[in-house]
Amino acid sequence: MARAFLLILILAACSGCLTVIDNPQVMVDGRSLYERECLACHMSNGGGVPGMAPPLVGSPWVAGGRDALVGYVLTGGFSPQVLMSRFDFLSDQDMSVLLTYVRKTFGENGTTISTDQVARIRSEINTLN
Amino acid sequence: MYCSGLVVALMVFSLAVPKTDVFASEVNTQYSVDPNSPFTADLGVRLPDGFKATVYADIEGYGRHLAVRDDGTLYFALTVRLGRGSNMGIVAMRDTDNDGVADDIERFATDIPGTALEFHNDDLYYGSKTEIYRFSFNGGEMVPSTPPEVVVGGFPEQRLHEAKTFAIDDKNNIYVNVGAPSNACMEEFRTRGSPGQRPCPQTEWQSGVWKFDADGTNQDQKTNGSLYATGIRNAMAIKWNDEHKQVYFLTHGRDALFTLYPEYFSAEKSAEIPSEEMHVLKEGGDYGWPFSYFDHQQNKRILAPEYGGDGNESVAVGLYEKPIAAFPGHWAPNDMMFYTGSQFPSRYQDGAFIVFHGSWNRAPLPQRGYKVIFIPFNEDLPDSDWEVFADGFTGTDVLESPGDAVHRPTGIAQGPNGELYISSTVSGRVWRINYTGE
Ligand code: HEC
Repeated sequence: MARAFLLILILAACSGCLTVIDNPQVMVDGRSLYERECLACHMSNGGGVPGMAPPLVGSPWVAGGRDALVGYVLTGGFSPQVLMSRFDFLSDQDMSVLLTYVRKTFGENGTTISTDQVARIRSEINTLN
Repeated sequence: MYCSGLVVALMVFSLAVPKTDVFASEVNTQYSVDPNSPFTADLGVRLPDGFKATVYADIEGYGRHLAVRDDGTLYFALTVRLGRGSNMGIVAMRDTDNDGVADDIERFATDIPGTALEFHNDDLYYGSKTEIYRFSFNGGEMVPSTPPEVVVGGFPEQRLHEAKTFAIDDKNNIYVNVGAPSNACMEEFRTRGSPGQRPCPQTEWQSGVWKFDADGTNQDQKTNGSLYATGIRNAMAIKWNDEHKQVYFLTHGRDALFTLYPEYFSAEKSAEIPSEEMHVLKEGGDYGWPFSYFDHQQNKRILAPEYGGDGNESVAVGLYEKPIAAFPGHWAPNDMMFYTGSQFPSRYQDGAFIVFHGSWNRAPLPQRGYKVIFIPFNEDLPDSDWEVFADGFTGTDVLESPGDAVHRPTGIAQGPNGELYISSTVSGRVWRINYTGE
């Protein structure tokens, strides 16, 4: 199941991409969400912990397709949560702000992620479950 | 004289009353590494006066524990974790010209990622993620020419706390640490507000120590093992002490008090607790995970917040074992040993060296604990405050992120001449340490 879902995400590469919140406040809010939810394991520089939590800098999940990143973080890695929890309790708004911050700070091209996109992936995951 | 009278009185007192107090603050005794002493970045380790280290080997891979054969050959385990580690298996090393640097290096079991290594009756025991193996040697061969036997298998597959570390006693029993597969047995893994499970199903085949026959073959945890002690999150450091005839261990305390329960814990408090606990392994003992943790600042065992605790409420005394020593939170005790050599000054004899891999769960505060400490023993218990035996591994004064550490100490073993070996995970380095008195 998880694999099939991954494929769907990768194939469903973002076409008509969505309008996004793209202002300095996003980076401020995104950073505080990152500090609250992710920093403990991935560290403030996104470097991770060798052998324990992978770096976000240089991660294909962060730099690659946006749908895949949203899916990864919502589900905690598409698999039984044994190393990273799922973050589906974050609102669409918070998730888009957080992941925009992550992509802009640690990703290479750093494009944004919209709330619509988070909402769409969330409902796709829910229908698959 | 009044003064010496007092000293004698204190000595008598401390002999009469075994010291069961816990002590967790960093203590800089005269024997500790001098924090102002110079540091050589190339060497990567700093020691107290009189000790000298050499870089014995730099091995490509994620290094783990060490064991030394009677002939002086050093064995070094390599594992792979979350894509870290380029090699796995066991590295055999000899320093044939005795210059402190290995010059004969061979590898075997290169398809088995593992952590724990120990000799027992001249066989090498190796703990992987799901098995304990036994390698036998034909004579003086450096690498075993026959394939290993499985001593015990059938441990659950898990990705967290997966290393099967062990201790072997003088009656051929092997005590295997089966770590907890989660942080605190919450219903939802590491999720704010998720309650702890009671009973915790993760204590059925995990989170404890199981006993087997060290001479046995193809034993299975479920059919041949007996649960020896429970409530142990991950006893990475576990050793038999032949003098006191008991097993000692240290566990990795739980993480994330602040991130999961910001209403009860500040980031600063959560960076210092819970303690990393040192214990004696007792048959039938319950060491309190996941229901409780030890707080050395309050010197008591606290009810875990997943089970209704608030950071202050303690659990009934006697319900769970009390540590014989406690160390600052998140330092990650990865290995320990008792010094039985005669090369080091006599005060080291029968005391314990403990290797702390160093924290990650202190962020955003600076990381700590990347050091080897020494704790003198009086009879079977720690006797006094502990001292820093080796530091400097991180290569920096203030470490923000574990990934910036150049070395992270992880394993320790004693050689036939009383010398020590210390290994590092991230760099794959092994140091040899001798006492020269200079
Ligand atoms: C409890 C520690 C922890 C927390 C908190 C955490 N992660 Fe992770 N994260 C991990 C671990 C461990 C993995 C690797 C999981 C695996 O391989 O199964 C991972 C993997 C990832 C990956 C994939 C990286 C790769 O290249 O494989 C991304 C992206 C990621 N996390 C993003 C986040 C974000 C965003 C947050 C905050 C919302 C977060 N993580 C919070 C531990 C954590």
